[in-house]
Amino acid sequence: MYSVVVGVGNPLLGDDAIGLEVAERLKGEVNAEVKKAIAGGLELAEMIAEYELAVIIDAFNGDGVKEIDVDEYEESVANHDIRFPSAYHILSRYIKMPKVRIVGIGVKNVEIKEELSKETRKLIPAAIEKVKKILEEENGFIGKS
Amino acid sequence: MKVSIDPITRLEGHGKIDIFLDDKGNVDRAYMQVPELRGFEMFCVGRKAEDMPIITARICGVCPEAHHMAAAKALDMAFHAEPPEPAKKLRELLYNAYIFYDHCLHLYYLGGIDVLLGDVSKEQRNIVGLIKKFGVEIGKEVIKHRRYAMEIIKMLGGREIHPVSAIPGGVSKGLNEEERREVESKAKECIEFAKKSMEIFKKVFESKRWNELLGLDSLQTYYMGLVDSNNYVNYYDGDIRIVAPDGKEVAKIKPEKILNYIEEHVEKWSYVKFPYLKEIGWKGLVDGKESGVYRVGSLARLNVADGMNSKEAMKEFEEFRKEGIVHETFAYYHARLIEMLNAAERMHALALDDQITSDDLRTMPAEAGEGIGVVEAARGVLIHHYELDEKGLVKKANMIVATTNNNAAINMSVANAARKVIKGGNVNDILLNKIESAFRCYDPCLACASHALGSTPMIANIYWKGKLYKRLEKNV
Repeated sequence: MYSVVVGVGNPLLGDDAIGLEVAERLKGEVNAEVKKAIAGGLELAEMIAEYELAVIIDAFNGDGVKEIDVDEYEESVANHDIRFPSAYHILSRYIKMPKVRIVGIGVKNVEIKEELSKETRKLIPAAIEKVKKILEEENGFIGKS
Repeated sequence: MKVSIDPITRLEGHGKIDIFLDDKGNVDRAYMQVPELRGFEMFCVGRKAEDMPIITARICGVCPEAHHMAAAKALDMAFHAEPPEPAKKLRELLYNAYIFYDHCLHLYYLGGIDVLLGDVSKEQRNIVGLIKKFGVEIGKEVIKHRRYAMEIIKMLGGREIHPVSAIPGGVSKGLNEEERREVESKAKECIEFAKKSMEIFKKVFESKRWNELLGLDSLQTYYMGLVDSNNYVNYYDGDIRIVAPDGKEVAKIKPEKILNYIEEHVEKWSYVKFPYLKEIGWKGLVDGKESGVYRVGSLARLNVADGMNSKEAMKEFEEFRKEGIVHETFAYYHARLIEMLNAAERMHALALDDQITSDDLRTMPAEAGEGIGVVEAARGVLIHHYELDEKGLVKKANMIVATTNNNAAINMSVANAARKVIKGGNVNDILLNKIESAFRCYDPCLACASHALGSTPMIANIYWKGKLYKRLEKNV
């Protein structure tokens, strides 16, 4: 499957950047293109168009690492008013959109700073494993690019 | 009557409208609050100046290109490094792609829905409803041309969504001949799409409903925007021109002088300040020649200018301005369409410019000082102001964003719309949407960088007879 892994987050907002960090560590480790996105919503949906599989990694308010349903992926204040689920469904009507699986990483410290908290850092290995497991389930292998 | 202000956190926040009804249940007054990103300017202090175009681009997922360019221009000045002409043209090319991309978003996915669809149910109030009315093809066209503009931004900016190419004194990346041809071809298609968009919207502009929308709010304010040496609209560079409500020029100044012309009024009930023209003075939330309230954004740009720098957009401009200054707030949409066409034409013209593939890309920075960078974000004048120390670190940073420039006008438009639609205490979701549509005209940016924290919430509190009468919420 022509796959993309997208880490989403803002590097200026503390633990919100966890998706970017996980994506960085997956570079060269998986058989998928690895991208980073600071924006969500429509821009994110446009970014993954025409792949066959997209794995999105993002922070959510909560605990632990878990898979999030696309329709529950509530993000994107920064895109005026179009959230990812709406953007995804709209684009699906006109262009080929990938199967999407979302890995959420629970965070608590979202404030203006450039470091991840210790608690959030501890979740990185579990998040990496989760992404690899998804790629294995979908593609039958993880592989290296 | 006591006005309560809901607490908002540092980053997350909701737009909040407070409406006060008189004894008869009609609107006495109304206020609109937009959330503000606080603390970011302090966050910049002590950082390397050359990092500012990248850091500030991350403030906001809505217009990173605008912050990127405003920061780069402020650093050009701070480091006394005027970029070479080819570098300026490359920046302008990227910038016009951004204007096209952003206007396309607002016209087809966001505020434009108010114009194209009118009072429809919540379920229909989106691009899906739009496609039902105007056909499937338009949906495909919107997606295709937004993608073209994004590809041009990526090609020139070096990165998808958040560009990194503008550096103090120029750009880090040029354009080769193959890329130039690609830009030329895509820009040409964008021109045709912009013309088609104009046709679609003009059908509404000729309708009775359009006159009703125009009647919802009209403000006799001052206007502010960038113009080139011909007094034509320019989004990336030029002088700042300010005109009075009657269209008479009151100032034409170099961008670095702008802070001498504006002051910011503070209201206890609002986190966001209210910029106004210093010389005219703050007279409250009122319009007219005696009030220093000014507007920025597409309507303001077309009101301060004598024309557009491209052929087809110029024709549209002449028609738009044939009766002089345009004050109706919904005319922001018409102005936005003209600018979308202009941005596409300008991209095409720049792609054909002899200097666009030059490798003369940078003037090396000299000693560090103070710099002000001004650009036209899609939603209006954006100002970055930095003071640097001798090591090139940021000592002080100040940013005045477009939505803040429009803060007073947005409040007045919301109040006017509320007065028109709420009668006898009758309030519902459709009416709230109509009031919201007045501020959507400005294409305001209600969010800064907090993408993971939830969707844009909006609360409207309606007070009657000294008590909270109704509270309408959206995405809360």
